[in-house]
Amino acid sequence: MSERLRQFVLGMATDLERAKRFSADPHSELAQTDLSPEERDIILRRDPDVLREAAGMPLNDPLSLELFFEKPPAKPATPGKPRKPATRPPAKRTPAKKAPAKKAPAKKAPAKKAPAKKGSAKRPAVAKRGARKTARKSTRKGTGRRR
Amino acid sequence: MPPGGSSRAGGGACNALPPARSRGSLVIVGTGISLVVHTTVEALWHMQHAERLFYLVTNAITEDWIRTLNPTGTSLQDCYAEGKPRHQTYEEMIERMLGPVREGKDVCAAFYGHPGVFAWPGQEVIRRARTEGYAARMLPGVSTEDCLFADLGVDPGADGCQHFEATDFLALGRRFDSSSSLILWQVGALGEPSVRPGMTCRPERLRLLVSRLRKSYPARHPVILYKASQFSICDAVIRETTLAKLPREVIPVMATMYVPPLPRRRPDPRVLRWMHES
Repeated sequence: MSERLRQFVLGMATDLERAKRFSADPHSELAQTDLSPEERDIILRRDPDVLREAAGMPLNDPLSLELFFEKPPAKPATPGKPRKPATRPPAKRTPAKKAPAKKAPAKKAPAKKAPAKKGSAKRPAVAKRGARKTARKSTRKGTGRRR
Repeated sequence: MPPGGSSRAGGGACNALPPARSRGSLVIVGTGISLVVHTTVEALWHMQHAERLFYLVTNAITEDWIRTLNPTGTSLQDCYAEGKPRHQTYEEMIERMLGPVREGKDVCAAFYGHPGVFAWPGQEVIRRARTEGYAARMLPGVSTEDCLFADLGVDPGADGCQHFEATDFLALGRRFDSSSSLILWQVGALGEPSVRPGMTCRPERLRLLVSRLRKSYPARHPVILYKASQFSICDAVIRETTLAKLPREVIPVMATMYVPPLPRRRPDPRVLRWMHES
């Protein structure tokens, strides 16, 4: 039974002229086959699940499903469990942030020294003085406006 | 169109792979969703002309057909087993496909639907083959998504479209735009670490999904449960319901859920002004 059904379905897929005739008049097309009345009834129902079951195939193919939570990098876990690690990573991140923060000033220090070597040692001092002056001016102006 | 007739046209078009046969090569193709008729001319050519053909399909009729195309056709289905860790299954598949490639053969592997959509082994074997220096490429196939657009009359260009695997959507709290289409895959296997024949989605899990969606949609918002047709003589399964009624539905594992978008937002007037600029 299943073999005849399989051949019929395959024939419909490979011969589109025949498939077109079937969709126009299924009864006359089925009459030309050696399918039993039961098999014809299954075909006429046009239900893929019924057809697959009758043709000796499982109703669904769960094994072929792509289960994302079974992927090699992510070990199987219940939906509730991932919430706990979600709270943990921030704790891990904080020390990770501190580490580059310590390194950063170490990198900045040689960067400041480098222009001092190339040019005169007065330049950074002048820049600092200028910055202080502008800062003082701005505060004075600000206070003046407020008053 | 008979597959024999179409193969000639495909033969002329397939010239992307290097001619050096001694090196070995790998082509991953998709058979599409509907038996035979969804297989592209290019995929068909590779399946017919490969020195070794592997396949992973979901029904016996497709297997019968593939074996007529190439006598070397070997199923990867036996890599699956109930209770077997999925990553072990995938590793076996990958090694089985790469074996003949390493021997210098032109290998083709045919996967159900699109070979790169919800098919981790198909993507991974390409990466590994390339890492080992072999020519490897993937050819697109007709996926459930393509069938859904056709059967439901949805144009993803109209409002945009977001895709999530249902468990991933819930577990990771994915953000989405409700004024754009939402497609949730594998709703029937929501939160399942393994699957078994005949299983359906658990109602309590569906309720959790609904409560999540209710933050963005009204209770009466329509939801469509969709299953593409695998056979040209059958119709696609299209069941329309509402979010409120969804937990009462029996959803098979292979079902896809389509949530239509809410009404469009007001467009940004600054961007609209661009349209009037010459």
